[in-house]
Amino acid sequence: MKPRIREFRFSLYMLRRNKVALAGLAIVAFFIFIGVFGSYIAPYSYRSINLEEKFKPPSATHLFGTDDLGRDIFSRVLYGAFFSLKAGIMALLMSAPIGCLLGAFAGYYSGKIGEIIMRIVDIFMAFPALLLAMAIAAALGPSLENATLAIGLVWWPYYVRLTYSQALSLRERMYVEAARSMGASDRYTVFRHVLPNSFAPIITKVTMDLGVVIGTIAGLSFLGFGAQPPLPEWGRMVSEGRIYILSAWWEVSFPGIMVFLVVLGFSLFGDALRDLLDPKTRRMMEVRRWKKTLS
Amino acid sequence: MNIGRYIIRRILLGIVVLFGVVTLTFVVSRILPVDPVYAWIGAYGKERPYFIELMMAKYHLREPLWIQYFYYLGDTLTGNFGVSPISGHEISYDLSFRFPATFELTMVSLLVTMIAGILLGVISAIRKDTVIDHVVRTLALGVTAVPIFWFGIALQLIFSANLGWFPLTNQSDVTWTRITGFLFVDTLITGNVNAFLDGLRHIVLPALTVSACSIGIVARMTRASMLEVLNEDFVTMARSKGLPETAVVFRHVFRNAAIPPITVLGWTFASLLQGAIITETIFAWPGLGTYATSSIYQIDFPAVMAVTILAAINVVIVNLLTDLAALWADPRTRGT
Repeated sequence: MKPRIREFRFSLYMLRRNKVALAGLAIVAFFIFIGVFGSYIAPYSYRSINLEEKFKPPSATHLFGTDDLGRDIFSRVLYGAFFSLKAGIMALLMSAPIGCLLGAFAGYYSGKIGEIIMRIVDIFMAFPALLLAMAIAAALGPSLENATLAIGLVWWPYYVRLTYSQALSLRERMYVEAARSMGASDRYTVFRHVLPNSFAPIITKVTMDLGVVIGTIAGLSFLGFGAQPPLPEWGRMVSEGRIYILSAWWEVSFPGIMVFLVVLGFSLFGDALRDLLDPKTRRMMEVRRWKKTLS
Repeated sequence: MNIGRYIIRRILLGIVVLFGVVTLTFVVSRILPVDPVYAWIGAYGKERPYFIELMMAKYHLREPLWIQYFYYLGDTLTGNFGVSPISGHEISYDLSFRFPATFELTMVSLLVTMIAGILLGVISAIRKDTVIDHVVRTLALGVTAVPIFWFGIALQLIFSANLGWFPLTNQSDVTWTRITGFLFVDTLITGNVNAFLDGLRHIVLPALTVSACSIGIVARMTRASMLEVLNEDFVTMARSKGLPETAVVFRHVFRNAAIPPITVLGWTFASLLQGAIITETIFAWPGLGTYATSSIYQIDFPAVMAVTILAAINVVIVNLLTDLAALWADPRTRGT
């Protein structure tokens, strides 16, 4: 069997064995599914107001109950998955590529330039991300799009750090030296050699960050700087339902549980990915498996 | 000595970052496409040109940029953040009320995080693979995923609304005299035990909310670190010497294993600060978090600037202190 296919099948095997990772993957898959197809599954529209039906507890017709305007919470939660998924992906799409490029070049060049870039990153990292995001979102006008933009703007320093340390260690490798001695330009070496070999930690971090970013955007919406009514963003729903929590606990609980599940799912799956992709732990797993075949 | 030079380098680095932070906020404040009159002076100045001139002179807004920067540096060093167009007070005055509340919340949360996290991690490590271990590990993992705002509301619902063990919101219900502004300090100074205990009752739920996520992280770190150290040779040596297990664990293993968790104290503090912003909103805690939220909401420009700088400076200083503390804690670098 070709080595790459064999490695891939081994990854799948290890994934199957790791129950916790499977749970994470299941949650992630479920979330993406309802994110994409939620609008088709939802029995009601997320904005269909029905004042006759307000504050109904969970029942057969309204799985998660209704809120203060009679809107079906189950449908709103499903739609919310779509908005959260979109927001999370957009935010990371903005911050990760730029951060990785910057970090890779900073680490590759090393020396003075690398130091200066890292100091600038340190300065940006000194500001609490949430505070910065709040200020940016408020300055631009509170909305889900602006909250996403704000998170995208404050999240890149973490990726710079990551790729910087990767690039620092990778530039000593043989293939980099070989490429340079053959006359490869710096840009070529970074794109062709440094970055592809950094993919593992980047992908792991992106996976785990997706959950965290969705949670942060929910937090921003909760404070009022993100999604505005009637958008069914989960954080927003929690803050809207807070006033009624003693009489209508369902409005607050279900969106909150969803945020929790999503963050948990991505965290578990990211953990498993890291163990799979990190060459050291992976080798450990391969050796253990190989030893088992001996017995 | 190598360590001395490293310490000096680290402190210089901290100062450079501090400078950078202040410079960055200055640049951003001058770049933002906000009408300076409205931003710094508020609606009051809109119709009153003499007032505008007065405030422009006070903030040196007519001067060339580098002169403004010079004044900005000086003002930040002395804590002069200008006047809030919303509240009408000097911002440093408003801050002097808000900062102690958040500081106390963060410090108590840090304490809770360290104690609970390290304790849970140690227990989990010593009783590896037992029920306790699995329970702690699952809880630790779960707790890092729970959204702070939801956790706070849940705590309020369960422990305050339903069980009535703790008050719902605010910092205290009893009046206490302000001397330093720190509730726990002032109530001790004036001997107001009632207010002290009341303050303790009020801080439990918010502190738990803020520290929940970090407890999980610290517990997992401590567990991993303990397991690593437990496998070392000197532990086997200590056991073979006939030392009772408790002595082995506490005198040898724990001291070494506690170093990694202490090094993340700095990062923990930064994330605690962010958690405090949301938690303060939930519990109506009169601190910097609610101040920041309301200032940003009302577009109180000088106040937002002030809070941002303060938060960043806080983070830089705490990171510096933890780096130095980590150096001191690790006997390999202490040099004795």
